[in-house]
This record gives sequence, structure tokens and C-alpha cells, in this order.
Amino acid sequence: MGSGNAVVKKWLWLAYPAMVMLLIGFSWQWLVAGPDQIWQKIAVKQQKVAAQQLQAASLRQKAAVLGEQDVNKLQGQVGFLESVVPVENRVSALLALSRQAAGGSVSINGYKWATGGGLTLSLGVADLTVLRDLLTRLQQTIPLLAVKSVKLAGESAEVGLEVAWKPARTVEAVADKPLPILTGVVEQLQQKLAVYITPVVGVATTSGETVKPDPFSE
Amino acid sequence: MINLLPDTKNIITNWMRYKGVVGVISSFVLGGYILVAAGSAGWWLFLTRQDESVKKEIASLTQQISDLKATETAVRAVDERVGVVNSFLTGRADPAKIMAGFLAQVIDGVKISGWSWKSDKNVTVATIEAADLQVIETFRQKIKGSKIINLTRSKEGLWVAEMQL
Repeated sequence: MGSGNAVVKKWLWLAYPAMVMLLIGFSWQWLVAGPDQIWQKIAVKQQKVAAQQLQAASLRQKAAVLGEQDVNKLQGQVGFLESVVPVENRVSALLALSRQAAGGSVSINGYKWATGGGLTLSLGVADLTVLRDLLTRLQQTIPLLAVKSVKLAGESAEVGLEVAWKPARTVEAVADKPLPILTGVVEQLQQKLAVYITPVVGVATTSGETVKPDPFSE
Repeated sequence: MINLLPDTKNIITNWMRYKGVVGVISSFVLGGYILVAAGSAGWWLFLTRQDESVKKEIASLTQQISDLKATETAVRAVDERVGVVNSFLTGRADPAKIMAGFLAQVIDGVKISGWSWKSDKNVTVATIEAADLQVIETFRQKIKGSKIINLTRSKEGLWVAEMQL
């Protein structure tokens, strides 16, 4: 019995490395190979946190940009853009714009409304250069016009016109959708369209009445 | 006489030589294990706190953005109409440019008596008159890609050509 205890005592120092091995063996199951796989969980969480940080940065930037915007200015810009390409077919503007574009160099002999909502002008033009200049001016109007056809024969010409229009699309705020970049975009358009002519469809009088001039009167 | 019993004393003595080395290695392994385990647990705790903090920030920012809903709608409306205007400006055909290119090619001896263009077909036809057929041919050669689609002679003796530009 006494010699047995002595043997056990002599081998006892091996208990320490054995325990370390057992500890590592079991924890290996927990850390790497087992169902919990803590390291895998850490990796997944790290990716999730990184993605959330990116989202937060994007939202932070969006909130900052929105905070700097002036709603009244934006609404004014929408108004300007809708005057350039209206939300409804303003065929009535075609005649006034045509007359202004024609000026004194081209005489408008007649016009007819096209079935699709456009206008066909009958013009008296001296030569091709005059017609070319008229076409250039017709494409520099607000609302924007599109020349659909041109037919010149001798000193008379027919020009088919349509006014640009597109119905307003419903837009909604989406919190996690990035904002479009608009820095200077509208200003550039305003600068580009500054020389374009606008129709004189009505002249406000001092009495508050609106006088609509005859488009063919001199 | 042969002794078949194991020499326990000698075996123990032999193993005792490794006691020190095994102890040191075990301590290093245990220390490393504790460091890795503590590091993993600490990292997990850090990530969990960060996750909560970012979640709170996202919720707060989303609320801020939601409060500015009218502004965002206006920004998107501006963007939508800018797209409409740009699309129209870039998409429309420009007959004045076509005509300007054509007029730049005019030569003496040719009279342009007609010109027609349709945006949907994108075809330009010009009617030209000249006394000499060679002048018409010279004119055609000057306008790249043009072709004569009809050639007649008028009562006045002029050559009348319809050219597709």
C-alpha cells in the first residue's frame, strides 16, 4: 500500500500536462469544431458590424445633405424644370413660341393642329438659311419643342412641331436609399437654358386682368 | 536467473528526466490557451457592444431622415425632372444641324429648290437643280453618303435631282 502511494506520487506530475491537454481538447470543440463555433460566430458578427457601420456612414451623410437642403428652393427648381418639360401637353404654347421664334424674318401663313397633339406651321421663307435659323430658334424655347418634320418647296415651308411633356411620376422618400447627387445640376441646366425664349401667353395688367395677345397680330 | 518483473524504479527515473520540460511546455500551452480564450471572449464582447451601438445610431439616423421626408421627396422630384429634361434635350433630333452641314456643301451653279426631313424616319431629301449634269454629280460627291434617288429634266432644260442625304 505504502509503495503504491509512492508510485502514484512519483507519476502525479503528469496530471498537470494531462489536464492541459484535456482542457484544450474540449475547448477545441467549443471554439472551432463544435456546433457553437465561436470563432465563426465572431467572424460573422464582425462582417455584420462592418456592414452596419457602412450603412450608418451612408445614413449620416444622407442626413447631413438633407439637413442642408432648402425645401422652398427645391420646389422652385421642380417648378422651373416643369416649365421646361411640362407635366401635361401644353399645345397652346406651340403657337406663341412659333410666332416668337419666327420673329420678323419668317411669315407664318397658316397653321393646323395635328391629330397627335402637335402643330404644323405653313411658312413663307426666302431661302434655306432662313429656314435653318428658324429651326435653330424653334429648338431654343421653353417649354422645349421638338421639330418632327420639315418640308421646304420653293419659298414655302411646312414645319411639324410638338411640345415636350411628361407626366409627373410619384416619387417617395426611401430612408435607406442613397440620395441622388444634384450639386450644381439644376444650376447648369438653368445656365444652359437662360438664352431660350419663353412664350408670352398673357400679360398681367395693373388692374389684375390678364390680356392674351393675338398670336398673329403684329 | 532471469527477472521478468518490470523495473519500476528505473522507468520512473527515466520519465522523471522530462518532468521539467513537460511542465514548462504545459505552462506555455496553458498560458497561450488562456490568452486566446480571453482574447476571443473580449473580441466577442467588443463586437456585441459595437453592434448595439451601431444599431442605435442607425435607428436614430433613420428617424432623422424620416423627419426630413418632405425634403427627400423634393430632392427626388428634382432628380426625376432633371432626368426628363436631359433625356429630351439629348434625345431630340436637330434638323438645323443637318441642314447646316448640308448648306456648307453648296457650290456655285446649283439651286436648292426643296428640302424635307422627318424625325421618325431620319431621312433627309433635297431637290437640287443645275444646268449641267456634271455639277449635280460634283455636288453629290461633296456630300458624303448621299445618293441621287430621282433625276429628271425640267421643261426649262434644267436637271432636277432628288438626293437622299
